Amino acid sequence: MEVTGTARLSLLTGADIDALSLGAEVLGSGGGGKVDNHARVARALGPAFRVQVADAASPGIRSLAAVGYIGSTMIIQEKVPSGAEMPAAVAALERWSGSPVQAVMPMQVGGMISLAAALLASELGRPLLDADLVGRATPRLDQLSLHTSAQAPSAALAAVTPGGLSVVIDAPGPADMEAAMRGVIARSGGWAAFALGPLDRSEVRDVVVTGSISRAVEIGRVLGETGRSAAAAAERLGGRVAARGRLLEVTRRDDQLTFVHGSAALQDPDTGQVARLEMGSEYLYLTVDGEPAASVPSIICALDARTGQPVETVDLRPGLDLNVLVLPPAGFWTADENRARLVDPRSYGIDADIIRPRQPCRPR
Amino acid sequence: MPATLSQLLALPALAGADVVAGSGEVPVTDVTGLPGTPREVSRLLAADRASAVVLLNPVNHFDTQFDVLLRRCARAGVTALFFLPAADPPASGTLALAGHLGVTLVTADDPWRASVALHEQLCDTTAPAARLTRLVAEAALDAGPGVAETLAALEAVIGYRLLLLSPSGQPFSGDIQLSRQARDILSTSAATGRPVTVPLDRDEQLVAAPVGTGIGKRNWLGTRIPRGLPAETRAITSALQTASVAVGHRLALARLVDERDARHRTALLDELRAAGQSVPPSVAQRAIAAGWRLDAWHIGIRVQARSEVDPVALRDDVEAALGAHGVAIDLVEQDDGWVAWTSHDSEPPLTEVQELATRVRRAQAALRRQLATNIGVGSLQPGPAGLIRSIGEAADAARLAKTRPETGHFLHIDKLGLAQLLLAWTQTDTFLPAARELLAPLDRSGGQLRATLATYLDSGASVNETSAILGLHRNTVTNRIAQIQRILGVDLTDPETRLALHLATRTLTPRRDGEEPR
Repeated sequence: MEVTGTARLSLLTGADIDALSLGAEVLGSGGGGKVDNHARVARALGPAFRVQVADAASPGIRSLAAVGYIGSTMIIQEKVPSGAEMPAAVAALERWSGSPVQAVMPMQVGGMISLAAALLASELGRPLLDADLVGRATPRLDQLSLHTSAQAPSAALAAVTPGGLSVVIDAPGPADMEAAMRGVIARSGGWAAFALGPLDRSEVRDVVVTGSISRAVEIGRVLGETGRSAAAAAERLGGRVAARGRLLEVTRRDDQLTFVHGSAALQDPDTGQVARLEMGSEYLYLTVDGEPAASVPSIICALDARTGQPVETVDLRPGLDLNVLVLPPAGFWTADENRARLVDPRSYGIDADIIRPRQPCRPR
Repeated sequence: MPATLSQLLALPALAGADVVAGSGEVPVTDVTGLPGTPREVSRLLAADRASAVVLLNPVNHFDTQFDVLLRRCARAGVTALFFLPAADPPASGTLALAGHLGVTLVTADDPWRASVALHEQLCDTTAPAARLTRLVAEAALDAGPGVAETLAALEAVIGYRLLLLSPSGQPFSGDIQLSRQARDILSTSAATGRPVTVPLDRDEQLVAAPVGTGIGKRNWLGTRIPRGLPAETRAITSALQTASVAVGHRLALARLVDERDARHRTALLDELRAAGQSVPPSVAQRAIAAGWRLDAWHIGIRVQARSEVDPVALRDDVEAALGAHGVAIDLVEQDDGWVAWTSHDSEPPLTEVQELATRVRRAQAALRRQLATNIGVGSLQPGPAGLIRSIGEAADAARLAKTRPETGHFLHIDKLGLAQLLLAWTQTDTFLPAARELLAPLDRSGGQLRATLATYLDSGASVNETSAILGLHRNTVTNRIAQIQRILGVDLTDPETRLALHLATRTLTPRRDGEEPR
């Protein structure tokens, strides 16, 4: 079940940038990278920023590519993309495959990649598919929705590093692709823009998370309207404020699977309840008074109680006042047990089952 | 009433355990030690519930799994969770959750030992008592002959500070102030020979076992332990009973040595007395070996107990009391007290002698709580013979002091200086024969009358004091005074008669050390 009742977008303009940015950060669940740089570029384009948003079912599109960044979001923040990398990756993919890419979609909707994909679509003048491969943010390429299908659609990955190095990887499986890619970026700038494809739209129609862009814009709009009232936003978005309070402690340590593993505890000053967030690059698991409250693939987002803005995992520090907003996961993941296995807590190294939302998400 | 966590944590076996979150005032009735990670323990908790849980494996991270464990603990009624952090201790979030859920967190440096110690305390078992008693017996066998070293060895095994108390609860060693009630319990129980338990305050009690040496009343060997822990009380009581035998043995040994030394000193002083002016070299040698400086200026001090006394046992107290007031002395035990003296390499000025007397007097006052004494201080005298003379003077002064409560039972011979001056003036060729003639009738009627008259006049014509000093019944004294008046044909109520007779007796009274007046 998708986010029911959400009006599907057909056009993104400058007026949607703020909502898309905020929504993408929320869906990033504390990860996915900061959207500010890309949002600033999109705003600067003014009326020139204009993107057709295509439904994943639209028959006019045959071939498409999923685009994104791989590497450390912290380094992208410091070593800012020039804007040429992502178009160059798409061009490299087209050159290598010999077939044109008719539309693009973000590899993950959470974080900066949504904005980057929209900017790319605007620049190339091609439609942006209202879909992604994650529905939130993820640190690893092997957790994409594409890999839930028994016959994974064959796709190559063209990557361009900030130094201008272009690499095309055609690997038999996502793990090899990931390993090769990590090798490249480790020696070439710390991150790379990539295009994954070309994908046949009819082949991948059932293995993409649909409606992602619309959902991000919707979330952004609601949060914009409700301001700092996390409870009101949760009500309208079919989610809940699962925990709130002041952050008491944040601990971080290295982790093989999720690169970094952290744990943060906050206490509600009114009830005394203590909630704990387990996190990798994103928020993964939430307990309240030791009672499981939420887990991946649900959207777990820490909102600064003062500003209403999402707080990334790397920005957590003791003393922050937070509302932890939990939104239902993308319907794609909950529709099927096998799919869920790809993004359940165990896939992040947390030995626990998925926590189903306690209350069903209510349509607005 | 079940034991509380803080009572249990006061046990020596749990010295490495500290409350890091929550209250120590939670009841603990039973304990279980569970192996595995917090997650595995969470699963075990459902089947195995106890009021205290000890995590036997160190905890690596205080993360969600630990939070879940805390939740399970709270639900299972666990009041205290013992654990050992593998690296970093739990952070504020974990502590806040524990506080919120009402589970007290206790870090233990050795969870296994903590688990066993808690188990032994909370279950009805005699194992800790048996083990502790055996360890105490071994330690007592291995410890040296000294009381202090034996106590130290026993303390190391028992794990509490040991206290050696007098039969009435005064501490010989260790720091404790017992209430009057507690001292009464000890005083009345000393005769029974049974160990006692005396509550001290809300948290602590005194457990004490009598220590028998065969001499006098039994002392107490005790220690302060937490209240409300029957197993610990049992174990410590039986350990103390075993330990008290060893301590009693060491006390008896020490007593034996003290007694021998005392006898040696007393004998040596007697020989010095007998030697008079010329001290034989062998005696002088032994005196030097005993640390006595014979060729010096001496001031004798006689300390006489006003009641039955054990001079060997109390020797240290007397020495300490004088030492505390800056009086360095040599001390020799006597039947009814002690002979002491200070030695000075050169003749000290009179002010110093006065100062010394004042200090001795203060020491006497300080000593009064333990021991009531008569103290006499002799005059400054040089050499071995002087030492004996000064001691003799001191003995006289002490005898006089016995009947002088108005001077605090203290007399300094130098206080009699005026009398001495007068005496010096009467030591003339004209007065001596006159005095002899005056008192001659008394001598013919037996020497006792002259001594009685001298004492009577010295004591200010008091029949009571005279009888006290001479150890006679007052009627005897009255009779003798009447006899003296009859023989001499004088009236002793006449002051002038008294003065003349007094001077005469002073002039002719032989010195106590047998020396004839000049």
